[in-house]
Amino acid sequence: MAKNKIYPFAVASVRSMENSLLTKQKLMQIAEAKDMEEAIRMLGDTAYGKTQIRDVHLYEQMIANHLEETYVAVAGLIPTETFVDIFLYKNDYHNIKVLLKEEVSKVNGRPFLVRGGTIPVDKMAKNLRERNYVELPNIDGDAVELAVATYAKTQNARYIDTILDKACFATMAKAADKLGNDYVSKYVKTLMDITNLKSLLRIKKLEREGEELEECYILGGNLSLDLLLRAFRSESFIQVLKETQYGTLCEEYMGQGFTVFEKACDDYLMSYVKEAKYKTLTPEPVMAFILAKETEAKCVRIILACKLHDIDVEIIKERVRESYV
Amino acid sequence: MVESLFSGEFLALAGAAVAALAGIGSAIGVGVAGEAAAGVVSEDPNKFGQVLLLQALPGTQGIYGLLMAFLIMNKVGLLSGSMASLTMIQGASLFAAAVPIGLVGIFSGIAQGKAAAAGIMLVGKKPSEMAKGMLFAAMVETYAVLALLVSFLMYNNIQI
Repeated sequence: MAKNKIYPFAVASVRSMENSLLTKQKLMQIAEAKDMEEAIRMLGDTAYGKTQIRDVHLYEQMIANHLEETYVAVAGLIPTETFVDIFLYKNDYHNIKVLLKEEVSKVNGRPFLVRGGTIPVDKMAKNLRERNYVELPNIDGDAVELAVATYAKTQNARYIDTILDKACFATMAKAADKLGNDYVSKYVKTLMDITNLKSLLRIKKLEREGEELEECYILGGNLSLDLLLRAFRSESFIQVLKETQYGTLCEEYMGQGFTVFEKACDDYLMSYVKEAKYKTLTPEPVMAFILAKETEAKCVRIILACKLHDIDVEIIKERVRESYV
Repeated sequence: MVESLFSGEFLALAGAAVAALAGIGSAIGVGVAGEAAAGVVSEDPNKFGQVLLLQALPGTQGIYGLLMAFLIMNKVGLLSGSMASLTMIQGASLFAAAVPIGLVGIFSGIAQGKAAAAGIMLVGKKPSEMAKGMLFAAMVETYAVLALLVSFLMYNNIQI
């Protein structure tokens, strides 16, 4: 893609669509609903209301339908470029993970498959079963083989996740390089770093070994494995991470538990995504819109899941992420 | 051959052509704004009237260029059918008079198109702020008008 290629139609459409995004205020209102039914009813007035659900337990379907609609709408705006794909690979790899685990465990994984990847679910299932990678473009066949082989050796499903996560990020990074857009490249790099930081914290909390961090370290971000391992092995790992570009994030939130840190990470990413708000003709706002929708869907999912389990309003509100608008 | 290229008549007509080139800027500007306008209308067809107004803003440079081209052609008598014979100095002066609006027209048209596209997106998001969007785009117009003024003053003081 030429660096200064402009997309007035796509950006203007997306700007108009931004009106349908839920503001943080609106999300808070939904969080204050007295029960699940009321929350669903409030969502009915928004873009999510297009899917009528008979049972409140089917809320996941409502969110999935809406996200899929968004992906299709945005992909249609810039038909010749493949920007949107970068954000869809994670859905593809999620499906591969589910399908592989289904294969090895014989548990029905169908309900866990997500739509909205670059490859339709049925096509993915059929070709993955046959190991026909020619039909699965953008999927790293070697990684799938490695994941299966490693599982066969270790009988530990964790490796399916770590190997495929790495493959997913590698695919994203490759696509971002090809696209040559700084905004996307930086986003992918930041996402890698954040994922690594989350792994570090999780492994630390679970009191596992440093080797595990090495296994799930995603290559390609700004934080090196050496640095993360040094932090992991040091007494006060936050002190080590303070020197990095994520210093404030680590210093303020890492000590407060995993849930808080995860939210802070999402907010950190959103603050980066928000930079696209001031771009007018270049494709950044189009990508930002996809990310904004994904974050919104995550918030809606958090709120509804909490409502379903009667979790206190204040706790729900704490967990609602920053929104794009 | 070379002599005819530097004849007063040819230089004057080349000047009229350069002035008309301002239309390039307008065409690109209106095109960019038009794409943005289509994007907004695809989401909300009711905003057609508002965005059309903004889309038209970068069109003025082309009109200024046309005006200057007409003035030059009129002065040299091309339009009345009996072209005056000009010295090389006269022709070159008319050419010089056309350059400001021709050049500034191209670049300000493109720039105004971008500003208008941004204004159109503003309307897409906040329809009530349309007047502000128009103002931002209209600011660019200043420089096209200044160039036209310079072109016109030069043209006006060339004696034939």
